[in-house]
Parts: sequence; C-alpha cells; structure tokens
Amino acid sequence: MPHNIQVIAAGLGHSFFDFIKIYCRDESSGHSINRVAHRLCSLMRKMGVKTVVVEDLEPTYIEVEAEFLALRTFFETSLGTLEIQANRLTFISEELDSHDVSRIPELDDDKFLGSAILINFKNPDNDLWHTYIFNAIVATPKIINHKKYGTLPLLNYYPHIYKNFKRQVYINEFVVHDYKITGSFFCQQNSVTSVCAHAALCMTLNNHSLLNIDLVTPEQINKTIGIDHQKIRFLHNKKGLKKDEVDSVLGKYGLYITYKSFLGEEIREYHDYIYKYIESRCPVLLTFSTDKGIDHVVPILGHTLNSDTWKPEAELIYSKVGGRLSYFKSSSAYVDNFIIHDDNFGMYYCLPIHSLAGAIFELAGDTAFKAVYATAVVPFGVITPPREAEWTSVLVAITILEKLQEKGTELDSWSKSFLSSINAEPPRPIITRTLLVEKRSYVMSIEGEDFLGNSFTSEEKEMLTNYLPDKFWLTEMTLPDLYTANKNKIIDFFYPCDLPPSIDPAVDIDNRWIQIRLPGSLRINKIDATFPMTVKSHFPIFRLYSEQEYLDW
Amino acid sequence: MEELNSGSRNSGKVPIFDGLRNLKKEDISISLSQEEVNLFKMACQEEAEARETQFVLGGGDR
Repeated sequence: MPHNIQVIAAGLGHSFFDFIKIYCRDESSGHSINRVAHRLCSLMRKMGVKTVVVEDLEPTYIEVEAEFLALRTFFETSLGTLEIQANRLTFISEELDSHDVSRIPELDDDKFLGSAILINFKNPDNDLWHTYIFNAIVATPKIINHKKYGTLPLLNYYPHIYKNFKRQVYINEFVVHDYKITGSFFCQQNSVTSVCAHAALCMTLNNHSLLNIDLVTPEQINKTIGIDHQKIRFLHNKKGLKKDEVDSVLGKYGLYITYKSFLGEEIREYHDYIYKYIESRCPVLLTFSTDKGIDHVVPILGHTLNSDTWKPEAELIYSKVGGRLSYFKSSSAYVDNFIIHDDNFGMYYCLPIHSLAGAIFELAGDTAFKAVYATAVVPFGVITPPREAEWTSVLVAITILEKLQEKGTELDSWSKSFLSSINAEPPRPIITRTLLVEKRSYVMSIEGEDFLGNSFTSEEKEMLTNYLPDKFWLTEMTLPDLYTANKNKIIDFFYPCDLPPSIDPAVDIDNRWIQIRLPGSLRINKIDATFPMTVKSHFPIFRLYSEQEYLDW
Repeated sequence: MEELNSGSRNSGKVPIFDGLRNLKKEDISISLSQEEVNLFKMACQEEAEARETQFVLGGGDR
C-alpha cells in the first residue's frame, strides 16, 4: 500500500534539479547523473507541470512486488540483504499544496501529465546506488495553455504508437483516485535482471493499440522464457534476447515479427522500411551499433515530417536516376525524425533519420552508431513485403495510364499530371505512401470529400470494399504538391498482405493485386471489371484514428 | 454498369472510365525489364531469408 504521500510544488521557482537529487539516489550520492529522470522532468516542465505527488511504495505493492523479488533473488544469493525502495511520482498541471490533496479527485484527466515509478537499489557488487524508472506513462507531448494559442499539438508531430492508460494515485492511505492518460508507456532496464531488450519489448507490447492487456513487466518476459535469476546474469552469461525468445513472448499476444538487416548500401534506406510499418501503427524495434561493441535496441513510436523538404524532388534532377521505379518517391522521404523511447535517455526523443544512416565520410572499419537491423511487430499472418506492394502499385498505375493514352482515351487532368510528371524532362517524382490498413478503417476513411466536394455514394463505398480482405497493403499515389500542401492523393492501390514474398514476380504481380482506384473509376483485378466513381479529384490521404488531432503544415 | 447514383456536388462524365472499361486484362499485363525482375527477386528473397535469420535483440555482440 502506498504511504507517506507528499504534495510537492513544481511550478516556477521550484527546481527539478533539487527534486532529482532527493529522489534519485544515484545522483544524490554523486556518482552519476540520472539522464532519464532529467528528461522526464524536462518534458513535464515543457507541458506546464505545477505539482508532483510522491508516494512511497511498499515492497508488496502489486506493481513492484515481482521486480523487488527478482532483484532480491539475484543479489541475495551471495551478497546479503538488498537496500531497495520505490516511489511513484504523479505530475499534475494544477497548482496544489499539501492541504489541497483532497482536490485531486476533482481534477480533469487532462491535468495529469505523467506517472512514473522510480526504483532505487544499492548494488551489493559495487556498493553504489542504482536508480531507474521501472515504468512510466507520459502524456503525448503538446503545448498546454499557451498564452495566445491555448493547447496545441506539436507541429508535424505524428506519434502513432500510443493508447489510453489507466493510472492511479493515492490521496491518503485509504482513498485512491483513478484517472486516464493518453500517451505512451516507458520503462528502463535495471541492467541486472533486465536489459534493453526487455525494456523495448515491454514498451512495444504495452503501447500496442490492438492489445487490451495489463502492463507487461520484464519479469513476465523472464518467466515466459524461463530465466532463473540464480543462474542467469544478463550482460555476463547472457546477452540480450534471442529471436526464438522474442517470438515466444510476442506469440503469447498473437503478434509476429518481421525482420530486416541493413548491410552495405541498404542502410541508406533503412528509414523507409521502418516508416511503412510505423505509418501502419505496427511498432518497430530499431537495433543500432555502439562503440562499446554491443548493440542497443529502442522502440519507435512515430515520426515527424517536414513537408518543405527539398531532397525528394531535388535528387531526381541533381543525381543519377535509373528506371521507372526511381520516378517514385516514398513519402518516407519527407520524414525527418523518428520518435523513440531510449531507455538510456528517456522518452519521446526525436532520432534524426540520417544520424544512423552512416556518415558520408567515415573511417574504414568504423561500424559504430549505425542502424543494424529493425524488427517490425505485425499482426499474425502479415507476411507480404510492403516493398512488393509499392513497386507493383507503381508498375500497374503506369501501365494502365500509358495504355489508355496509347488507345486514345482522353485522360482526366490528374491522370495527365501523373503521366506528365514522369515523362517530363527532367522528371518530377510521384509520391507513394504504403501502409497496412484494416478494411473497417478504410471504410471510415472514404467518408470525406475530394477537392471539388465530390463524395463516394453508398453503392460506390460498397463496391470499393467488397473485394477487400480484412487487412491489406494500401499504396496511395499522388503528386509532391498535393501531398505536401493538400495532404491529398490521386490513386489508391490495394495489394494482399498475407502472401509469401513473390518468387516469380513476372507472373505474380499480374495476379496478386486486388484493385486500383483512379480518378472517377475503380478497376477490380479479381473480377476484371471497371466501375465508375464519383470522386474524380484528389482525395484526403488515409488517416487511421481521429482520437488525437494532428497539426499539419 | 451505368453510372451509380451520385451523392456529389460535381458529378458528370469522367473520360477515363470508358477507356478503362474497354481495356482487357492482357492490355494491362505488366511487362518487367530484367533489371526490375532482379530488383523484385532480390528484395523478396531478402525478406524470405530474413524470416529465418537468428538474432539477439539488444545487448548482442556485433
């Protein structure tokens, strides 16, 4: 049961540097700086924190009981008893003093910015205090109560892996207040019974929007893979988690991983592989090399985007291009950062995509600080590579439009623009955006209107979705100006996601694709039939949920 | 199939529809260059091999 509940002022004039020195014993003892605690407090400061409620947690408190037991099992086998303590910190954007604690239940949920459980233990191996955030829920970063503009999402900031979490705070030893935070789960390895792989897997599972489960802990992962803390010492006689161990943990939740390594030139496009899954709300774990000779893994939660990026268009003109596939640029070319949690640094960091793509001038043999591989966590049965879907979409769209032109069909203005972009000298790119979509989400996405105010009729919506499986790869094709300025698309292309990678593309791609929606028409490949569509102009790109509003530029 | 009932503010004939309706399946069969076949095969083979690759997540030696 939590006890010793304290209400601490954290507004202007109250330093988090002092606060951290009290609650992070690694920092107060002077042997290290607790980067994660500083990052957490910095985010809270940015979002206008005014108060922190601190609770002492008993070793038997349900959230920490298994973690305490694991640490004690590990250390107490040979080194006597373990000094260990836990606190829960609740960050609130309302000014409260110690007499106001009873007001907490009156607060709206959006006043709760974060909730973190901090564990301190004295490592008997070296007699040093070690402090880590065992778990935290932190609200999605946003500007709160700006003097002129009010509360706003961050500009061009797309955190796709998040959910609504239940948390609680004790008002006194007998009264608990339950509330919800929309944000994401974060945790740190303790480097003894858990490593970064545990943290990354917990963050992946606990933030997965399709899973409605209690928070998964590192100890539950250890139990699943049969770790005995009296025999196994992570970072000594066991490194991270092996693929089959990861498979067994994810398999419990009906999830599956797909994997890609980034060797040689492939590293230049590592972000494109990741982006397609993240845009699909499939969590991705990115592993990169460090100069310590071991790899580190971080979960990717989303991305930022710069719609004024020069590169996607400029490189078609200023660099060598080859073949019709090179006229198409994935929308990943506009992504400038991945939003990550790094358990060594903290939550909601922006990882510039070029930082792990290898330096332009690098020393021979310098293999540190590069993307090594990524594992995307997908629903079971999703096995078709998105790249196969995207390349096929490009080839089918070009073939159809060129054939129509060849047969003397008068093309609509957007189809003409599409063809003239790739036939221009020099060419302009066509933007492709490929993501895994559920049929029910696609149905919701076609409720809107095109640029001229046209909408799909109910019969057309039925025709559009009649032949779609429950999940599929959707590739949207558009022009750079429509993507960056209007966030609109011209063509939708539909491809299965449950077929193994093609071994005979010359045959497979003609048979595999499901359908294509062009301006004013729909071609269904399976039944070889064409239907008219009322939507003739560019139409809003697919967006999954409207739960969190985005601020686009 | 005739044009369906329209809920739009800007319905009307779309030139592309008639042309598309008259295209046969063989008209839109994709012909791949050898380079494109190789690209596809390489990408798909990599994906297939990746599924069998063993790795250590986090804390693994390079």
